[in-house]
Amino acid sequence: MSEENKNPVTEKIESAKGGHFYKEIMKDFRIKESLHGCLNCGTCVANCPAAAFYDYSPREVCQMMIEGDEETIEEYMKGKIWNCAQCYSCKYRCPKENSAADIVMAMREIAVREGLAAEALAGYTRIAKLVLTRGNQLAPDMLSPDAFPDWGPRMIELSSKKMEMREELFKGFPGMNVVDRAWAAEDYTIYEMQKIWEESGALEKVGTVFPFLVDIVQDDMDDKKDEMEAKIQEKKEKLEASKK
Amino acid sequence: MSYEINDVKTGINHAKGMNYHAHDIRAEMQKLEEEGEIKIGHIIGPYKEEEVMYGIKKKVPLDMHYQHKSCGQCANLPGVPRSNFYYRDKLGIKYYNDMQQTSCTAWNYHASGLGNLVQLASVAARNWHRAYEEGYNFTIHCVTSFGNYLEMRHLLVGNKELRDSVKKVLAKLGRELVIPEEIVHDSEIAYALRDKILAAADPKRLEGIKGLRAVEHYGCHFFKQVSDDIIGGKRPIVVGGLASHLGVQMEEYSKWFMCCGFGFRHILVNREFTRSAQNIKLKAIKQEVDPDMILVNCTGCGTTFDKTQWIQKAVGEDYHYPVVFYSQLAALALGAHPFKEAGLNFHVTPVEPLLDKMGIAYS
Repeated sequence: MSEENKNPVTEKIESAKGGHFYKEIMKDFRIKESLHGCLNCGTCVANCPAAAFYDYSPREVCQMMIEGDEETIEEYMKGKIWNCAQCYSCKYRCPKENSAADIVMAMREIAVREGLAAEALAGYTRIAKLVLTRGNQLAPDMLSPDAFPDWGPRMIELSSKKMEMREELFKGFPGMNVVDRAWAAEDYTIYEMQKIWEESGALEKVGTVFPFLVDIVQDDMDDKKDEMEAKIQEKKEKLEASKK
Repeated sequence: MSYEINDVKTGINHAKGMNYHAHDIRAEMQKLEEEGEIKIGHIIGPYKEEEVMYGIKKKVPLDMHYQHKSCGQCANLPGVPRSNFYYRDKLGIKYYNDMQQTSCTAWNYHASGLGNLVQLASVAARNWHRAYEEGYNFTIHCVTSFGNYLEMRHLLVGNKELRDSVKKVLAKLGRELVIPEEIVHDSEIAYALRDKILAAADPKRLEGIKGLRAVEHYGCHFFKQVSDDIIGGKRPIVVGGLASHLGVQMEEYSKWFMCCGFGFRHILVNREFTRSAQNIKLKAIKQEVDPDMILVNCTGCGTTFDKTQWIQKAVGEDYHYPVVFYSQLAALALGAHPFKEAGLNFHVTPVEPLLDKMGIAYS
């Protein structure tokens, strides 16, 4: 992809159409790579697992963006975007190399930012908290049989024995036998992750869905700030010295 | 129906003439490095060249592996990272299991829309920089991370605004933007090492593997998210390629392309979708092949296939296909204990019938 590359399809639409959501979506630079015109051939729908089970269509996603159809865009923003499995089968198969999956991703970001995602993200608190406080997205402790009863009887057995099984498996591998996170990421590492979320504006966005999480993260950062910032300062000086 | 793995090595021509796709990311990275815009984390030590789309050669590093782990594997299928370490130990490959790495956060991003591109790319770049400062080649255990890092490389190379924003964030951490010369998944490495794995394998174990019938499933983010950097061309070959090299008879089934139903958010909050998609896949596998095992390379797919077979009894189906990762197969071939070293006892779909067939003792 060249930075100077222009996309006549999206440029034409941008100048002519759109309501609020349409305009917000078009601000995402990925859209220029995701829309190259649509033949309405339906190849994407035929390969889409979400279309097989839900009222969701990757063809409609591309069409509504080409048409600037705000009414349909709003329908997707308020619910249908959460049906997409993000498998990118649409992108892989499209003869025009459109990517409904990328358009949906841009829309999900906007839905969170504009406070439309609370219902879709109900039940997601534990993951968000883990990402922001442990540096990982998943922990053995989260896979409890009561949360996943449909995973069968072996899951119950595994859950009760996981500590001793993991101890045996990871003998000689420090940092791997933990159950409250995927691996024992260091405090400094977690602080760096939190700082990325803060500096990039992502933490503020989390506050639109989980305001209490922002307080938890900021308290956590404040507690270790002096020690961690001193380490970062050392790192900055080392980097500067290496450039000379 | 069986097939030779090379038969599916597809030469892709359909995108010719569409200049927005046919680009060489490596040449663009080199140009940016010359302009002082980025640094490249060049391959350290020996490598093997494998062909990706348009005949471009991908350098697969054969030593000095920074192990970028998968949070889903470590939490849920810990036998996979353990097997990744095991085959390296057996082959004398130096690796670094770093505790200063974070998750890629792409599972979170695709499931929830929390986060943004600057955050996602900065997390990627921080992990890349860890490998660079420690003097290792960046290698990836997870398919979600692999797809995400391919995409982040693509976006960072192609968009100056994103690049500048990420550089600003990294500067506040005392780090700089160093993009790895190659984004390599662990299954690509195991495939590149297939001759070495075969040569070091236990002959008795190979005897047990020979003639096993298997189907393969690749994570969607392994080859659909960014599809021009995959060994073999448009359809991936690395899992079946390694397995057939070790003597497994790979079988074709009609639903190979279909998503497993993981869906990032669906596996957490919409599992009726996951189960329904699985039923379509498993039905085709049963009717068309009825294999000894399902071979995978993806954290999410491995979880979905392993955990979603039992519940299919609710719709009158009885599936019982052991789910085995490429590296667990390699570890078994190299003599690993199936539970203590390959961690197959963490899988909920029973693996014991497969181990019995292979003549491998377990307890």
